[in-house]
Amino acid sequence: MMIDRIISIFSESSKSFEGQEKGEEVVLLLRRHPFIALLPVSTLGLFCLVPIFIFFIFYSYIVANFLLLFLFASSVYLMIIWIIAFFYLMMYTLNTVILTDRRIIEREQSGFFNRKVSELHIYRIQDITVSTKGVLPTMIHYGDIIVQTAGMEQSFIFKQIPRPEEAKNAIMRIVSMANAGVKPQPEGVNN
Amino acid sequence: MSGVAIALNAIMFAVYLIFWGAVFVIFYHLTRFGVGTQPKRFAAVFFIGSVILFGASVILFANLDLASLISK
Repeated sequence: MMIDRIISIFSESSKSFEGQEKGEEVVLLLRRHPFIALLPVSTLGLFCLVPIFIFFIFYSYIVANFLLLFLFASSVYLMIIWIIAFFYLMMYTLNTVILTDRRIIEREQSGFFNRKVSELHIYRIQDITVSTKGVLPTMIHYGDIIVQTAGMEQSFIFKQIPRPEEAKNAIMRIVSMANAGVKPQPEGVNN
Repeated sequence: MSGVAIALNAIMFAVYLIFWGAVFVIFYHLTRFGVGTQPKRFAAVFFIGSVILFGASVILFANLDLASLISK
């Protein structure tokens, strides 16, 4: 039983989240484009090569005198790199836009203990705009989705969403179905 | 054990404590606030990697001959 529960995290599971209402279902889950996380993580990957370069530059001196100390210092250095890399991955994976059959919830993680959760009921969505600015966003297909609500309230902006046109179309379909009184079906997730 | 060796052991104990504190915080955030399978996979990979790195570091530190290093 315990092993089955552990293994189940590697397969598809129900998209539950904190603050989910009774009977509420996740229809669409959006995250930022993976390139946003890849950039800092790949930079850190290059930093991982520093001990290797140092070893080859000072090879004879290290091997003769300080091999174990060098390996130990490298292990501590890699531990630090590991923590920093997963800090960036944590920031990436915890920034989500959750579309349920009732509302849109945007969760922004800005640091370890710094989180902002905004929500908007589906029936208040008036129109949706997609904005793709710049060479890189155009080439690898990511952009911002701006959700305009009824009334004088501030728009919701979902930044760096992959394939924003498809995401916009999916949101419009879900809003139309919800307004028609039909329960929206899951649209699939981009992560 | 000389004073320098005791100090080095104390420093490494503090470093490992900070490391596991950071591991706990990241793991907690991923499992508690993560939605979907991706954060859980990240958490599993992160935890396994942390254990491996910590184990390697401790083994290397235990095999260090601090007395000869200090004398050098």
